[in-house]
Amino acid sequence: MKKLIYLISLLGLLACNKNSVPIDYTVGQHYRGSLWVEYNGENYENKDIEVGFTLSEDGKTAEIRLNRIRFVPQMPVTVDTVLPVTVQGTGNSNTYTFSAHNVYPHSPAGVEQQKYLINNLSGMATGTMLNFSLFFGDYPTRFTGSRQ
Amino acid sequence: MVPDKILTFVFHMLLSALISLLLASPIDTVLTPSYATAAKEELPAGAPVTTVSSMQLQQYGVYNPKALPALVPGIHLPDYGSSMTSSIYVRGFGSRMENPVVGLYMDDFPILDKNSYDLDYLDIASIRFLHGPQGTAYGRNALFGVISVRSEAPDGETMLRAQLEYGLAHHVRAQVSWHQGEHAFSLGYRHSRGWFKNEYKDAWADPYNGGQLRWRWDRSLSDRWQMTNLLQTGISAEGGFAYGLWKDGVQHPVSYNDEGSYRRVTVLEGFKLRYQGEKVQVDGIASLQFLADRMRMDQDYTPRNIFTLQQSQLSPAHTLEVIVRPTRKFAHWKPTSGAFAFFKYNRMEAPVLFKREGIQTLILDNANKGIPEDIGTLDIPDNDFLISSNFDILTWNVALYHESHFPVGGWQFTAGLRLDYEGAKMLYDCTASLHYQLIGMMSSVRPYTDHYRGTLSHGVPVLLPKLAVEYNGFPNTRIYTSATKGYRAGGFNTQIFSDILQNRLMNGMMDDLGVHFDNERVSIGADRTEYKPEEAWNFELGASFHKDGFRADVNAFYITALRQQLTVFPPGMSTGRMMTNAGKSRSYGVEAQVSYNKGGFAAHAAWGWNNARFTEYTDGTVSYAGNRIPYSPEHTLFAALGYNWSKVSLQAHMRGIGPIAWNEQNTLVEPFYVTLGARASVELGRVLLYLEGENLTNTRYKAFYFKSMGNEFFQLGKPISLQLGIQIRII
Repeated sequence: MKKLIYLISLLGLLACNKNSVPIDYTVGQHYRGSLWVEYNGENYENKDIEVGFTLSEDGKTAEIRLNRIRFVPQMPVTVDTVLPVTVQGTGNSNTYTFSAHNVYPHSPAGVEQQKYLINNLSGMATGTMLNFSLFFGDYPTRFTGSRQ
Repeated sequence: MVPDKILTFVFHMLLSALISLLLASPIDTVLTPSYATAAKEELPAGAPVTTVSSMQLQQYGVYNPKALPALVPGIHLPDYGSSMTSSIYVRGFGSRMENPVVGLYMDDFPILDKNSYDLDYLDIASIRFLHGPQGTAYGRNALFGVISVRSEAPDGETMLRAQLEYGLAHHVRAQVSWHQGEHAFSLGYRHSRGWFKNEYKDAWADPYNGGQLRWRWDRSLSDRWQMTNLLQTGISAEGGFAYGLWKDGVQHPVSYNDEGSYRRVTVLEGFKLRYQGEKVQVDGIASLQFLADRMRMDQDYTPRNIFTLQQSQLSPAHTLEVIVRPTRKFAHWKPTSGAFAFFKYNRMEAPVLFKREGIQTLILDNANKGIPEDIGTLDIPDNDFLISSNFDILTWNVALYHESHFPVGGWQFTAGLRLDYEGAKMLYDCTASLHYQLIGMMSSVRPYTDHYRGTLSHGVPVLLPKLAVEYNGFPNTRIYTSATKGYRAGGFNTQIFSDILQNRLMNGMMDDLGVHFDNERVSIGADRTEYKPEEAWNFELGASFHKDGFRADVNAFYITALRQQLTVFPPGMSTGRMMTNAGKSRSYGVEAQVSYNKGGFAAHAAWGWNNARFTEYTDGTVSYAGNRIPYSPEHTLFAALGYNWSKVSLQAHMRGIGPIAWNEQNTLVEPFYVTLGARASVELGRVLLYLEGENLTNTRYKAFYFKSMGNEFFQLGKPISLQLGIQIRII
């Protein structure tokens, strides 16, 4: 019995250690999940979307990169876009909350995508999940994904 | 970089001339007028040969290759474009672009660049056409024949001759020939106002000004050593590209706004040396060649500001061939062995300028079709932008060949084999810069530049066998059959790079914006711009008979072409076509010639017929198997009658060409057409006066067809021409 308690304690300790290992967000962390865009009262799901979250060196801002997203099903193109966000705070070393309002996203090459003004963006990045919601131009949008 | 190469080339030219002088130094000069070192022409066994004499060239008004069609059965050299355009069609095969299907030799020196094929003839002794693949002896591009031009050799006598003619279209042709001892000089000049008017510019589209110089030096250095040095240079400045829109069955006049011109300088310095030993005869044939040209072309051929192309080349080349034969005559064996090599460099610059309307119609309209309104509208606000494409192309070739003839009684059996290796390397450096804006998504224009650089190389060995049997047992008769193989060299599609850049620009701008189309523009890359050699097997059966002034030749052939070089629409290309090894074809047909000369009477007729069809060919979309190969006539017909009194000569001839399919679908066909020509001359002592004309019935026919941007264009054949000339033998 003692051995079992010892083993469970050890596993707990190891798990605790893993969670507490700092993640370097400045090199970019990748999450995979679904992006929902509300269009005409219906939710259109972009499945299996890869999203990157990269923290600036000073930790005050971050960029969320969305690859090949589609806002409506009939859209004949997909878009790569980068959302510049302001980091609001950190719960622990691996959790960041962020927001953005009235800013333009840009392409990975740096071209502003003025078509898609961002409003009311808020979200959180953790060691396991990334969640955020926003208005992408006229489209209410939200993302939930797991870290890769 | 280029000036250094020019200097290097000039240095080699001077060195070659110096070697000529040193070799010519022995005091005891023995002139051998018959020394017209026909080093190669002893070879074609089992092949029909057509010889056009200098007299025939004069009588039929042939002063450049484009006047040869039909005179040689089965050969067609359409006269269109400019001097740069030397498309040759033989036995149903041919090529509008890249390597020709026929090799050209000038006094045994191979002319490597097709852009140098169309040169005015200066004091030509004869032109021989060796029908069918001559790959074993002649190697690359002798796929369906060889044109062998022999210039007049100095004969030890002194001769000075001048010629001047004037005709319609302000045609002026002047020539001075001077033979002195072992030297023969010729100087020629030709001018034409042009035949077709560009209605938009109210100016002649195709004026021509060109001059040529030829110096041939034959010398017998000793009993064993003989040499020939040939220096031939030409310069020309001309218009061209007299293409008129063809719409709803109506041919419109030439009408375009941008420049159409061609400038060219060619130099051939050739040196031949023959050693006649007790055991062996060795011919050394070396040449230095240089081509510098520049073509400017309105690529849309309309009065609109769409796009233009300029293509300039600087290309020096060296060739070297050694042919060895035993001097001793064996009873049943006549071997010939040879080695050949060349090296060619070509610096090509081919910028395409997209003008305002071209940006709109060729790029923006196409692009915006695929961009949803929700995303925005692409705009390129530049008035024009340039896609520059620069190429450095190195080509080299080495070959070893052998042919053995085995005479047995009236029979002669021939077997030959050539191992040919051709390599090529191309460095491409393309750049395009523009400004763009996706209106609706971007608030301001943004510069975008694409550089596309890289290297391609290939090397291909080819084996070219030959088997022939001749029977000469009947008097005055030669019966032959042969199986021969020829090849046309592979290469690079340089002209498609501007299309590749267009596609890269579109995709690059969209990448820049982070936008990906569901149906993304597919574009080939540089790695798919190479094409391989085309090969063909030719099976020949023929006979010739000659007696007194009568000569008759008839031959039948069957050709199967493999890896045929054909133009296709590559995936994603908006305007361009490219050469690729897209298909297989076969052709069979008959060629016949009859001539009769007695007293002052001369008659000559030549007919060629072929049935050349694709057996496999898909242009990327449609299969054309079973259709006629376009651009090559099904029939060529030539007939001439002449009579020569002691001082007066009259001659009339006709040429018939066609039908010609203008497209792979065979939906557009030029019917068989006939043109008439004639010449009358009178000799007054040392003076010869003549009046000659071509297309005397002013037959309207089409010489060339192509499509550009969905529009169809034709160039018409030249209308009636008349020239009055005088030739004076001064010394």
